[in-house]
Amino acid sequence: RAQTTPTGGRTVSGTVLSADDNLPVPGVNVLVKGSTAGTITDIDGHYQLPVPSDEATLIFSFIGFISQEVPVGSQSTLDVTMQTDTRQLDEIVVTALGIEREKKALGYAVQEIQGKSLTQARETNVVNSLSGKFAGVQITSSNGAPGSSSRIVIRGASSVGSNNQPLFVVDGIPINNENYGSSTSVDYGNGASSLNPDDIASVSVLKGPSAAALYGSRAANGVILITTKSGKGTQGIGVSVNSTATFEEPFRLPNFQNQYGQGGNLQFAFVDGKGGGVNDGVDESWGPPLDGRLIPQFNSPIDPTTGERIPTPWVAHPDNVKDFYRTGTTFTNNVALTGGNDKANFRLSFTNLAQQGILPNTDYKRNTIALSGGVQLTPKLSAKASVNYVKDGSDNRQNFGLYFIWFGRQVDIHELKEYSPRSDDQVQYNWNYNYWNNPYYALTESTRANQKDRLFGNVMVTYEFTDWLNLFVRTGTDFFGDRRQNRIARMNKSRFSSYSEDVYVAQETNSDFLFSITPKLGGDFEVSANLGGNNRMNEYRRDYMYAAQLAIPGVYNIGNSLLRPEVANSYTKKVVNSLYGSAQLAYRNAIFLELTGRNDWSSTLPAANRSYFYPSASLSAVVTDLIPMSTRVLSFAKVRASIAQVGNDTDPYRLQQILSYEDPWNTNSSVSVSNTINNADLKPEITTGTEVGADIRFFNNRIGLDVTYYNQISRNQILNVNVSQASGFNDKILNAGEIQNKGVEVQLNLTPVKLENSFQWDIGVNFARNRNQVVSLADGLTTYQLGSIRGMSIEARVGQPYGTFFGTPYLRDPDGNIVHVDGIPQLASERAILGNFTPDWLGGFANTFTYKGLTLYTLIDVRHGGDLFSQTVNIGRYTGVLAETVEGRETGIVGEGTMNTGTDENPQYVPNDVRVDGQRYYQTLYGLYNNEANIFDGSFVKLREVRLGYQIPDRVFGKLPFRNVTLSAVGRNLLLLHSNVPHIDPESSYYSSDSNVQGIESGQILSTRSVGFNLNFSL
Amino acid sequence: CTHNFDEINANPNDPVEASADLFLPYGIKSAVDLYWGTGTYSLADVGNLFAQHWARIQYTSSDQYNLSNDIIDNTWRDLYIESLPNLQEVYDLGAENGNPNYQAVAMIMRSWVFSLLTDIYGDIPYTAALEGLEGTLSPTYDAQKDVYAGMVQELKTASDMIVVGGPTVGGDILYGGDMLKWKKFANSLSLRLLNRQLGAPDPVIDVVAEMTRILTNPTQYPVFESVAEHAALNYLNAAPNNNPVNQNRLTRDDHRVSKTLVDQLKSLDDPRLAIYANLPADGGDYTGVPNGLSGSDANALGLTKTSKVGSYFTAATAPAVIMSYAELWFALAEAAHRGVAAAGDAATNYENGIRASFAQYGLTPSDAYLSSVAYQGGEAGYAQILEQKWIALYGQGMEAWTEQRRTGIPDLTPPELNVNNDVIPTRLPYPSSEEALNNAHFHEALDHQEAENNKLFKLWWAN
Repeated sequence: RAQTTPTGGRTVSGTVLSADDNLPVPGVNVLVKGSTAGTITDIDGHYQLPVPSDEATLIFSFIGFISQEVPVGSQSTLDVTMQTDTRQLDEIVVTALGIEREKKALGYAVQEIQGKSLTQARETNVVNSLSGKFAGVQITSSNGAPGSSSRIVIRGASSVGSNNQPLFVVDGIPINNENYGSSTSVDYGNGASSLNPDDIASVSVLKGPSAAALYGSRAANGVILITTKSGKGTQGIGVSVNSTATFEEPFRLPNFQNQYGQGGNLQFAFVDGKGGGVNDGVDESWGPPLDGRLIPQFNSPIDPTTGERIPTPWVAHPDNVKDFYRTGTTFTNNVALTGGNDKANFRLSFTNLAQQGILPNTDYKRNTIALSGGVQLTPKLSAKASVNYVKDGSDNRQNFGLYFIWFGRQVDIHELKEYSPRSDDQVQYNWNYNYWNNPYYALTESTRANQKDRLFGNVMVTYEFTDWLNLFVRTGTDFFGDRRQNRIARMNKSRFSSYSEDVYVAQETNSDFLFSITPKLGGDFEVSANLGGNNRMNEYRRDYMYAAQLAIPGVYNIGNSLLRPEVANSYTKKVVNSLYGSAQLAYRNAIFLELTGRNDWSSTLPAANRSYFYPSASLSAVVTDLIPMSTRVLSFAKVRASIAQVGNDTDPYRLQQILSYEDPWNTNSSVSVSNTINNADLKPEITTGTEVGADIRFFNNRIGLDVTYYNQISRNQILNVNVSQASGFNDKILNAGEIQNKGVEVQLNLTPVKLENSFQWDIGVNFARNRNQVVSLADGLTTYQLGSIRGMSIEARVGQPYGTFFGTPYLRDPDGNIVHVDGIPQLASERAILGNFTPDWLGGFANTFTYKGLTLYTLIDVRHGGDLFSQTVNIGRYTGVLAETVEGRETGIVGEGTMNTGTDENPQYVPNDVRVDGQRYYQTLYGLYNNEANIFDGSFVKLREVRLGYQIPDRVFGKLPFRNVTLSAVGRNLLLLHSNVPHIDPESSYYSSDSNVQGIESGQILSTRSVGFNLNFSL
Repeated sequence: CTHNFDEINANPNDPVEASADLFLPYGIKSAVDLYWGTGTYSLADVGNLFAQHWARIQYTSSDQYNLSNDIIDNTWRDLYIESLPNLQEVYDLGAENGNPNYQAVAMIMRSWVFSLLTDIYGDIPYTAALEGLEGTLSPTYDAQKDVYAGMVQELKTASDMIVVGGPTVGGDILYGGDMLKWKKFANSLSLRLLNRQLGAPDPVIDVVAEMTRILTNPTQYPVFESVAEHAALNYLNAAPNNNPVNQNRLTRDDHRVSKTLVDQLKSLDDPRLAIYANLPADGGDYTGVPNGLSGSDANALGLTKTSKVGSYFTAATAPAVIMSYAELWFALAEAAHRGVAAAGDAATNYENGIRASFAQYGLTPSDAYLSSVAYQGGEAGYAQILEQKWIALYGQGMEAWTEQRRTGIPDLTPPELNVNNDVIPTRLPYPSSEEALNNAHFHEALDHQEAENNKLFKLWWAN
C-alpha cells in the first residue's frame, strides 16, 4: 500500500514492538487519524509516514493487538509497544451464507487459509494448492496436463452414486465445479480450476453437514468458501504485482528395461512395420537382446538396388521416453490495483497465465480480469459488486495415454520428430504401422482444443434499518460457454481424418436475501438471528457435432463431412427455492448455541416429495472464559458439539420414462426403449452428521490442538441401481442405500522455538482418519458397480468401504503360493475382493522457519492406505517394456510357487520345477486380465511444497516506490519420499474429477514436479 | 413458488412415445449387429473362432478360449436390453393398434433372439423376462427345452397371425414389409429349432409332429423357396449402417481364415474357398492360420503371408445372414436321415443344400464336385450332411459353432494352448451381472443344469 503525502508536512518514523516478547511487529497499520494517509510496518516493525502537522494523531492497529492512538507532538521518532488483545485472539472466519463469525463461537470445525499461500508456490488449479493443508480433505490431481482437473473429497465419500465433491462458493454465491464432458482422453478441468489464485483472499473449508447446513442440497459433501480480495479497508491507491515462473518435469517415469528391443520370441526384423517382417507388427518388447547385432529397423537405410533395408546396430536408447517430454513452463503475472476511502473502495486485477505442458504441443492459457467495488451510498445504504471474467483454453490438451507402454524399447525417439511419410502407403513415418501413430504426429496433427469464456460475479445491496436490523439482497451468476474442437488426423490404418465440435453452455444463477437481526440486550445474553431465502436456477446446454470421415484431409470443418454428421443436443434446467433461518444465543460471550433450519423446494423431485426441511443445532463453550484460569499453561480451551441434517435432490428429468434416439436406417428413423427405469416416486437424500470437538491451546498459544470426531450417515440415497438385464433394463433409479463416514480430525500447531532475535519455528500437523462403510444398498443388492477396467469391477459393496476392487486373483494353494500348471502361473476361476481405493488416513506436516525477512516453508503430505490399480504396470509388464521382465528371457524361468502333483480332488502341492519360456511366463504372470498383479497399496509420503522467501526491507529501496518486496524460490511435488507402487506416481486418477471411479491409473499424462520463482511487491 | 416445477422438469430432449415402425429398426439391427460381430471382441469371435472358420493372428487369447468379460457380458446385455425390449414394444403397439403383422414380426424376431440366448447360455429367463417396468426386476430362468417349446409355439402363432396383404409394417429393415417372406422365415426358423431337438432328450413338444405340420402344409406354413428369400440383413454402404465386420476391419486386422477350414476346402477342391478367403497380400496360395497360437507364433506367420477373411464378407454392404436357404436344406437332410418322413429324401436335400450354398455366392457346383461329395448314407452320410453344413455356415459363425457342439461334426481339435481343459467351449458363462443382481435365480439355473458357470457343460440339445 502506498502512502499518500499531504502537502506541507514532515515525516515521522519509528518501530512497533510487541509487549509480549518485545519483538518487532511487521504489518501493523499506521494511519493518520481523520485522513486517508497511512502505511504499514515492514518486516523489522519499522514505519515511516509523513504527517500534516504536530496536532496529528497516529492510529496503530493490527489483528491480535489492541489499537492505539498516539499524538505525534513534536517528535520525529515514535516507537510504540502494542498490547496483545486476548479478546481478538479468535479469528473471524467466514461461515455459511458469507456470515462472518468469531471462530470461537462455532460449534463445528472450520478451517481457513489465506490466499497468500496459494500464490507463492502456485498451482494452476487452485484445488491442488489445498492439498495437505486441511485435515480430512483429500485432493486427487487427475494428471499433469496443463489446466487439468482435480478431485476434492471432504471426510470421505458420502454418496454412492452422485459425485461426492463439495460445493464451491465464491463471495457467497455458488459456482459451477462440474467437469462437463471430460473423458479419459482429454481433461477440460473442473469448474473451480479456472479460479485465479491471485484474486483469492482466503479459503475456508466447511467440512460437515453442521457447518454447511445452511447451504442446503449440495452441501452434504462440505463447502469450499472462497472470499476474493477487495479494496475494502484500503486507504488511497495501492498497486501490487505478483509474478511467478515455474518449470515442470515428469514427477516419475516408469523404470524401463534396456536389454531387449521390439519383437517376440527374441526375434525381430523390420520390413513394413505391420507384420510383413519378423514380428515387425508387434508393439511389444520381447525381441532380440540390444547387443549391437545388425537388424533391419524402421530407420535403417534402404539399399537402392535391392530395395531392402540395410541392417543397422540394434542398440538401446535408454532415454527415449524421457527425451520425448520437454520442460514445461508456467508463467503467471498479476497486477492488482486497489483504492479506497471511507466511502468507497475498489479492486481491479489482471492475471495472465501461460503454460506449456511437458508433452510437445500441449498448452493452457488463462486471462482473468477481476473487478470488485463497494460504496457506502448513505449511512444506511451500501452496495457492492464483483465481476470476474476468465478466458481460458488450450490449443491442445490431448492425453497421450499408454503410448510408451506399448513400445519397442530400442526406438530412437529423435528419429520420429520428422514425421512426414517416406513412402506412398504411409500417411506418417513411424516405428510401427500396425497400431500406433508417430507420437509427434499425433500430438501435432491431432489436437484437442478448447476456448472457454466464463463470467461470474454478484451484486449486493445492504440496507441498515436500525443498528440491530439489516437486510441484504444479492444476485449472482456463473456463466460459461466452452467450445471444444477435436481434430483427429489420418492414421496409417484408418485413412480418414475426423472432427468434432462440442459446445457447452452452463449457467447457475442464485438470488438471495437475508435479514440479520442483532438486538443489543445488555447483560449476560446476546442473541442474533438471520432469516433468508434463495432462488437457484441451473441451466445447461450442449451441442455436439461429429464428422467421422472428412472428405478433404486436413480441413477441419463439419461441412467437410463425407457422411451425415452425428449430432446431439440437449438442454436441462433445474430450479430450487429455499427459505432458511438461524438463531444464535451467546451467554457471557463464552457459551454459544446456534440453531438453523432450511426448507428446499426442488423442481427435480415429484410434487409430493419436492419440499423438504432439515435442521441443525450446535453448541460451543469457551471453558477458559467461563472459569477464569490464570494458568500460564492453559491459555485457551473450547469444547463444541453439533448435529445437523442436509437434504439433497437429484438431476432433472429422472421421473418420467423416455426413449432414446438411434441412428436412422436409410429413411427409417429409429428410437429405442431407454435402458434406465426412471422413478416417479423419488424422495430427497438425507445426510445426518454429528460432531464433537475441542480446541485447546497451551503456553500462550505456542501449542494449539484442535480435535474433531464426526459421524455422518447418508440415507435414502438416490441410486442408479443395476438390475438383472433379463428384465429388459440395465438400471433403475431409486432411493436406497446408506453410507456411513466416521472419523477423527486433528490439527496441531506448535511453535517449538521463538527467539528474541526473531527466529521462529512453527509446526503445523494435520491428521484425518476416516472410516467409511457402505451400510446397505437397495433391497437384495449387495454390490453397486461404479465402473470396471480389465474385467475388474470397482464397487460400493455392503459391509466394505466405498470403492472395492473386485477382480481376478492368482490361483493359490492353501499356503498362499501361486499354483502353476506346466510351469505357467494360473488364475483363480472365481473373482474376489482385491483391494479398496478409500485411504485409511491422510496427513500433512508443515514446518515454517522465519528469521527476520526470511521464511522457509516445507509441507509433507501423507496418504496411508487406499489401493491403486495401475494399467501402466499391467500392460508394461505384459509388453515387456518394464525392468522386471528381463530376468530369464533367454534361459527360461522356473516360476516361484507350487504345482499340483495330485488330483483335483486330492491335491498334492510341491514346489514348481518346470522351466518355461520367459516371454510366455511373464505374459501369463502379468496377464492383461490378471487383476491381482496390478493392485498396489497406494500409500505415499511426498514432499509437497518447499518455499524459501525473503522479504527485502523497505529501507533498501529508499526513495524507490517498491514496498513489501518478497522474492521466493518455490517447489511443488518435489520428492516421493515413500511409495509402495512401482513405476508410477501413486497419486493419480485416470477418471475425471467428477467420477466416483477412483484408484485407477491408466497412463494419464504424467504428473509433474515443479520448481520456480515468485516475485511479489507493491507500489 | 413451485407452480411451474412440473413444466421445468418435463424433459425437452427425449421423446416419451413413438410408433411401432420407429422401434422395429433398432430391435432388428441391435441383435443382428451383435450376432454378426460388433466391436473388437464380439460374437464374431466366439462363433467364427470356435467353429474354426476364422483364427486370430493378433491378440490370440480369445482363440485360446480366454474370453474377455466383454464378450460374455455384452452378448447378454445387447440381446436383453437393446434388442428385446424394442421388439416387445413393437408387439405391444401392434396389439394396441390392431396390427397383427407387427405382432407377428415382433414374435418371429423375438424367437430368433431368444434362440441365440439359449444356444449361447443354456437355461435363460424367458417367460419372466422383459418385465422390468411393471413386473419383476429379477426374473426366473426357464429350462432350455421349455424355451425351445415356447419358441416353436410362438413361431406357429406368428405364422398363423400374419395377414399377407394386410396391415402395413413399417421400419422393416429385413424384408421391407413383405409379410409372405416373414411367414416363410417363421416356419424355416421353426424347422431349424425343431431339427435341433430331434436328438435331444425328452423334448417338451412332439418334434416330429411339429415338423410334419409345417412340411405337409406349405400353403399354411410356407418355407424358404430360394436364396432370395433367406433371412439376412443387407447392410448399407456407410457407417453406422455398414456391416460390423467391415467396421472392425477399418482399424483392426486381427483375423485370418482358419487353417482347419482352408485345408478342408482345399482337400475338397471347393471353389467357395475363393469367396471365403483372400489370397495372401504377398501372393502365394490360400494360407490359413492355425487356431489359438501364441501371439508371437501367430504373428510370425506374417500378416501379409496369410489369408484374410474373403472380401465378400468384409465389404460394407455384406449381408448378415440370419438363416440361409442352404441351412434349411441341411436341416431337412438331417431330419430325413433321422427318419422324419415329411422331410423327404436325405440325399436330395443334402445336394440341394450344397447347391443353395453355392448359389448364395453366385456359384454352381460342378458335377465333379457333386460326385466327389456324393451322399453315402448311414453314419458317413450323417457326417457328410453336417460337414457340408459346417462349410455352408461360413460367416454365420454362431450357428456353425452351435451345430458343431451339438453334433461333434466336424471333429475339431482344440488348440494346444487353451484355457478350457482341451474342450471347445460348449457355451458362454452367464455374465457376472446375473450373479450379482439375480443371484438366487442364477444359482437355481445352474443347479437345474447340474453344472458350474463355465464353458464346459453340454447344453440340453447336445446331450
